[in-house]
Amino acid sequence: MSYGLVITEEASAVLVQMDDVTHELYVLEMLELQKDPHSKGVLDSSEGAFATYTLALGPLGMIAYVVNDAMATVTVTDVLWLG
Amino acid sequence: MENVTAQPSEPAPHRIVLPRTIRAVERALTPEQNAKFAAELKDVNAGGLAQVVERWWRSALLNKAPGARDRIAAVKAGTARTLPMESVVPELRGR
Repeated sequence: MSYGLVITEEASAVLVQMDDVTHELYVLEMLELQKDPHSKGVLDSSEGAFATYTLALGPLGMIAYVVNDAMATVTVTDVLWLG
Repeated sequence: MENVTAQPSEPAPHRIVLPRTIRAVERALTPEQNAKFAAELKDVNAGGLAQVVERWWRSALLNKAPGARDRIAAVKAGTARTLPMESVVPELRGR
C-alpha cells in the first residue's frame, strides 16, 4: 500500500528554502515514507490511527510527520533546523 | 560617533537549539512527558541510554518549535492547512 504525501503550508514554506543537497535527501526520504512510514522515523506519540514521528534530515535537519493509517496519508507538519 | 548597540539576531523560527543533555530535555518536556522520560531512564540498560535520551530530545524539540504541536493536533483534527506534496516537490510527481 502506498501512502499519500501531504505537507502543511508552514512546512512547505521552509521546504522551498532548502539547499539542493538536503532537498535531494528529502525527496529520497519521501519516497521511502510513501512505502512504509512507520519504519523510518523515531516515534513521538501514537493515538488511534495516528502516529507522530521525527526523522533526521542530514546532520542539521529534522522533519516531523503524522501518519494516518485510516486514510493512508503521511503529513509532514514541520521542517526544523537544529543548532 | 553615535552610540551603536548590537542586538543578537533572533534565530529563524524553525531553527531550534536544544542541547542533548538530560537536564535540557527535562526542561523542554511537559510534566506528563517527563514522568515517562524519568521512568525510561531508570529502567534502561546503560547501552540504551543514548537512544532514550535521543528519542525524548526529539520530542522536546517539537515542544520548542513554535506551533509544531498545534500543527500536529490540527492534522489529527482534520483542520490543518495542507498541500499535496507533489505541488511543492515536483520530483515526486507520478512516483
